[in-house]
Amino acid sequence: MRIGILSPINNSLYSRVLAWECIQEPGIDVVKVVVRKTLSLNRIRGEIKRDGARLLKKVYKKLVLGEETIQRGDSKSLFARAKFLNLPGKNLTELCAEKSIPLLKVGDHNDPWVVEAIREAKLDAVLFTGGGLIRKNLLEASRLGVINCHAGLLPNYRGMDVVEWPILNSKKGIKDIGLTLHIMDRGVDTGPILIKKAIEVQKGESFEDIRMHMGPQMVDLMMEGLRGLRDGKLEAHSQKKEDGRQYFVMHPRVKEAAEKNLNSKT
Amino acid sequence: MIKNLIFSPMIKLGIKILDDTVPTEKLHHFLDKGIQNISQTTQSSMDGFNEKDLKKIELAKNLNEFRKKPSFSPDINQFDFYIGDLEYEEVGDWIEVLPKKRVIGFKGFFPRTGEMMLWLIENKPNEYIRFFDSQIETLLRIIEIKKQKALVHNQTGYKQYLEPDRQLLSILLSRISRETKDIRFLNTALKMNDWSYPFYRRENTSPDLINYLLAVAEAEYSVKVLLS
Repeated sequence: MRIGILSPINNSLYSRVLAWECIQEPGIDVVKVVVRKTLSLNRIRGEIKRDGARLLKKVYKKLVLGEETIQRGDSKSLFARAKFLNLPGKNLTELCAEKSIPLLKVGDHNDPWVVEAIREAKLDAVLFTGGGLIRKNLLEASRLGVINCHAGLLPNYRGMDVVEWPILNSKKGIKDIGLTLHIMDRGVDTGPILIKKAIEVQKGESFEDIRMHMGPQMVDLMMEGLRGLRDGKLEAHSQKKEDGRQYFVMHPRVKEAAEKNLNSKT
Repeated sequence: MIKNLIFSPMIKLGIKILDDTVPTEKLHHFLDKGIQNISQTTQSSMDGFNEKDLKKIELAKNLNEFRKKPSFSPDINQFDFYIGDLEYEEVGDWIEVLPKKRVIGFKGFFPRTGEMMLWLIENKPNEYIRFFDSQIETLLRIIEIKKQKALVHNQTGYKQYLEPDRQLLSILLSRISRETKDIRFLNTALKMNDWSYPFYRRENTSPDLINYLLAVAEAEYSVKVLLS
């Protein structure tokens, strides 16, 4: 099975761990890795326009505090998984160089030459690990399409902050937290579902902890899906638009209420 | 360490500039003061204000008092929420001329959407329920995606309706949230109120301020009813 990986940045830990696990998996060939350039004026402008202060908070956490520093002490984090796997290289460039996998550094995943490169590679599937909207041409450039692991349970929880929204919405206990592997389509998390996995929130976990602990589970779900597709044992089930709701970034006041709910229920 | 020293202050400054969230205490203080000022103004002179404005001030005042109470039993009948004074035919005519039968698109919303949709939620005429339901999800989605850029008219020549429209839309979302218990609508109303805050924080008496005060009071009331 020939696959490609779309990554939001060169040192994304999620992309690196996933790429490494794919490389180790029999019957799966990583044929192409596509990384978005971090310092592209268009990208910065577009993301600031879309995410504003939220983007800078993310940059602050990743670049200044260091994503790996935050995860270092946590045995359930992606960092721990990377350490366990003895992940080579500091970024995808080094990892791909070591395994002789062609890597493209691009301004936008949707650039026509990128879509053409994916088409020419005759991929069975493209794994999406972040990096913005994916347009029709790229969605259709491989045999099975672009596969994404969404940090929420579909079809109910589409969109943003879908770890926080179910906790705010739940009256009793904590439910509807989980991951969904799906094939991306032109809608927001409306594509056919491959696998769903509920996640149990542990006592004392914060939203940040829940998200951090989702990291390795997202890799596992991607791998489970790939194996299923490789062996022809997995079928996609389409969603209806009206089956779920699209959620948006939480206002801090609403997030505060969700946090209270989380603390009172764990 | 060096990275921290160079980037940390720059990014923190950037966050401060880009973050448009108004701190809760600041918003509550603004609401208290704004209602007090505008009540005093209308008591001394009614120039520039009408009956509908007075009704809105009274409602904002009552909702704000309710917000300050330590405990509550939400009784929807304790306040007179009715602020629309349109005729049924006027609303029907407005719906008839909507481009593609949509109140909002990526280029903005149709003039008087706030006023008309509020009338629909207040009166709930059977024949327009389906229309109303079909519009609110799109309204929510486009405001969330386009943010302030969604809050412009998609037709020219209705400038006088623009500012009231924006505030009435926020009121509408707060009310939908209370009716449907769907907090996504309140989430967007809170954001809209934050976006408008810089334009009103130094205002004392304009009739447009009344709509904004009511929008903030309605959202704060919804926060109390739905989130506490």
